[in-house]
Amino acid sequence: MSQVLVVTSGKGGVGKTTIVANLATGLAMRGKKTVMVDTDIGLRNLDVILGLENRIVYDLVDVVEGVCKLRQALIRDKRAEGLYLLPAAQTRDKSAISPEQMKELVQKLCEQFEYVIIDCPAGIEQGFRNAIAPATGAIVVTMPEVSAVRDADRIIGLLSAAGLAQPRLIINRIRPELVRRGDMLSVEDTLDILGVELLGVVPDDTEVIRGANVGRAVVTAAGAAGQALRDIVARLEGEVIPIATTERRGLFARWGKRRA
Amino acid sequence: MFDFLRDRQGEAASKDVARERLRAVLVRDRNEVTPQLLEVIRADMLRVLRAYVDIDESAVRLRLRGDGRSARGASTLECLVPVQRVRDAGKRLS
Repeated sequence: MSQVLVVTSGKGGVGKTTIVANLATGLAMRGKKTVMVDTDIGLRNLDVILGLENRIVYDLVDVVEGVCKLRQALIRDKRAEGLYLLPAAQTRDKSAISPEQMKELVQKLCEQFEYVIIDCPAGIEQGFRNAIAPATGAIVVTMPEVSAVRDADRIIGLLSAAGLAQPRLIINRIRPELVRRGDMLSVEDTLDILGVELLGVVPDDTEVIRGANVGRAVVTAAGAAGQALRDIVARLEGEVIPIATTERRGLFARWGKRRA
Repeated sequence: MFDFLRDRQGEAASKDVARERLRAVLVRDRNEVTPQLLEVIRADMLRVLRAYVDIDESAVRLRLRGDGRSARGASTLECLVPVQRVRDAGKRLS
């Protein structure tokens, strides 16, 4: 049974696209045939994050409008076996497709892929409704910061109303030294407020910026973010990996312990 | 408002302030009544009231207001119902 996971946040810029790119790459590297779908029509970014921007010929809207076949629009990422991208259109907007069309499209994708990872745009309007329509599960990405958490809460409410009642949370771009100093919300603070299951915590890491600069995923990279992303992929696949706490001892202290 | 967070030096860790502010704002955000629900409440309310009083229905005002004064962010449902006259059913009861 294929899994269709929508990665959403409400707030823009918290790391949805980066998370989609890395989770999909990680899953493909474990041998799971995975397709990433960019639904941010008009503001596409999944392609550029993975360095695939020059390979786009057809996009999601072309497929839905019958301009091309689905397989013509799918771009194979040569760095991982079984990893594909269905890019968004850049010169249209979110009204170009409907939730119904998304469901039909994803149903076809499920015939050939074990995982369909949907990159949801920021906001709660048409783009969001399109992205969640075909989903069987949801991942909410937030940052330990007031506006991001507030928006995540709203999104969790909307997901629940749409039948996706048990989303899993990724806390992204945490800075353990700021948490220790009392200047950033901790993992415990954030979980306490949002009340959903934690899927993982990804620290702020320069590797992510470097990866975006050169168009490469960081799930295989050294560093804290790479390790955190690998752990999240493993958890998606059912492995039990404890998540480090930031409250008292500091993320990096626990990190070292876990690797041993 | 967040005195309980201050330590001996009178400083409150900013992340603790953030956490408490978020808790308060989310109580209000989560209690926000949707326009659809307000419509349902309005229709039910008028149906009941019509048995007792004649109302100028076009002038009925109904809204849920967040109470910004309280730290816990309680809400108030405000209704304004202009009554034109009390009907027989209403008169018999009073």
